[in-house]
Amino acid sequence: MSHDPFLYFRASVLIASIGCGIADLELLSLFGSLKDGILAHERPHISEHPPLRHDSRAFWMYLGAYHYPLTLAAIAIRLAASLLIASSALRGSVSVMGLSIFVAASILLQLRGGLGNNGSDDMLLLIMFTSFLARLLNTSLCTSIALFFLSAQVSLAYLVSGLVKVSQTPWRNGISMIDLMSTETFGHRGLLVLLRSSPRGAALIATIFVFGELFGSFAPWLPLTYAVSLLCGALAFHLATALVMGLNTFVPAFVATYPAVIYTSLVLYRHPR
Amino acid sequence: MRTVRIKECFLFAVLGTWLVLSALRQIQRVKPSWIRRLDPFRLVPNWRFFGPNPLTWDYRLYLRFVDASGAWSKWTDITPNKNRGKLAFIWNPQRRPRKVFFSACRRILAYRKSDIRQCSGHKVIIEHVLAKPRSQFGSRRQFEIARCRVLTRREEREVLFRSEEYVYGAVDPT
Repeated sequence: MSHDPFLYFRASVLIASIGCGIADLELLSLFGSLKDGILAHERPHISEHPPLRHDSRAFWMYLGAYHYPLTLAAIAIRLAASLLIASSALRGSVSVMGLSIFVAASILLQLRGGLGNNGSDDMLLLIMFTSFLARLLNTSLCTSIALFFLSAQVSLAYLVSGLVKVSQTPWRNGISMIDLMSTETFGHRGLLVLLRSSPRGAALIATIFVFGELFGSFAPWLPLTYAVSLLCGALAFHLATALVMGLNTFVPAFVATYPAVIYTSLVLYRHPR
Repeated sequence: MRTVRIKECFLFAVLGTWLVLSALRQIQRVKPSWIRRLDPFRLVPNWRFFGPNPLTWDYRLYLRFVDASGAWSKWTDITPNKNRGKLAFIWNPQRRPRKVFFSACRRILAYRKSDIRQCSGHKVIIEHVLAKPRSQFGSRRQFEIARCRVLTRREEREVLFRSEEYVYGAVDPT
């Protein structure tokens, strides 16, 4: 397999830009909520940051795409940047201009407020900001450092998510899983009936869920065969959570880090070319 | 050669700091306020997905108003975007308003009742309540937050918070 970091970098950026495109299309489809729905009322957190207080506050609020339709414009610009990045990655390079526009629009939107962002948005932003820095510096070693950083972040994400659950009895015995499935927001009526009818099955699924996350965190630091096996399991996990819980953007957000994980494993264990 | 080294050292320092802050953010004993002060763009992630305590209830928002006869109306469910579409595994924009609403509810429920107007979650909800048209919901309004489980066979519902009365156009939630 190739050890060229740029190849894995382009793959990561391509998948992340697709994820960002979906996320921004979803936001644009809620344009009414950005005007007078509940999303419009998420206040910026500028006052929490001393360097941005007082005189500069109004400036940042306007620049922060705070007011409708500036928010929509910033999201549309970011969507266009994602398309530019994806098309450039497909052609064999990653557009610095696309990444610069993406980062600038994201900074404005982050200042405005979270817009109901979740962990997948955090991961997508992390990949795009890292890619921007790596592409700006544009050396082979910088690209490798960026890929190692993405591997470390995805490893941390799986490790933390697994550790906070494995320490809780309700997660290990399946009760948390049943409770989560009984919510309208993340639940699934069919799966809830199934889990309730078989508490042992619920405990088994919860254990696989929690330990799957824990083992997933080792993927970048193991030889390629093990890394790929763990990544296949992690992909199945993300597809399942998308189907059952509606966590759709978690699939591209986390899969985008997998090329970085493969690269890290390849470099650490120096597989023959 | 020197330029190349400077570039790499710079990137290593930036990403290393980012990684350390990310790791610190995950430790529950470390208060995130100082990390947030260093992170105005909110790029330091929280990786505790659904842990340690997952969402086990749905929150519902109800509104009642004083009608033309001067009596309080029945409670109307105005929860934003309750239902998930069938294609949510590929297209799920409604998760965002739901997330904002849930976060606002959690903030309200964790806040001191005496200072509730200062709570950012309360401001979010009150603006949502007062954005409802006057023609349909009158001018004097009250909201309540309840938790419920609708996917279980017997519907469980418990009122957690009831607001004071608000008058349309007389409140500046900011």
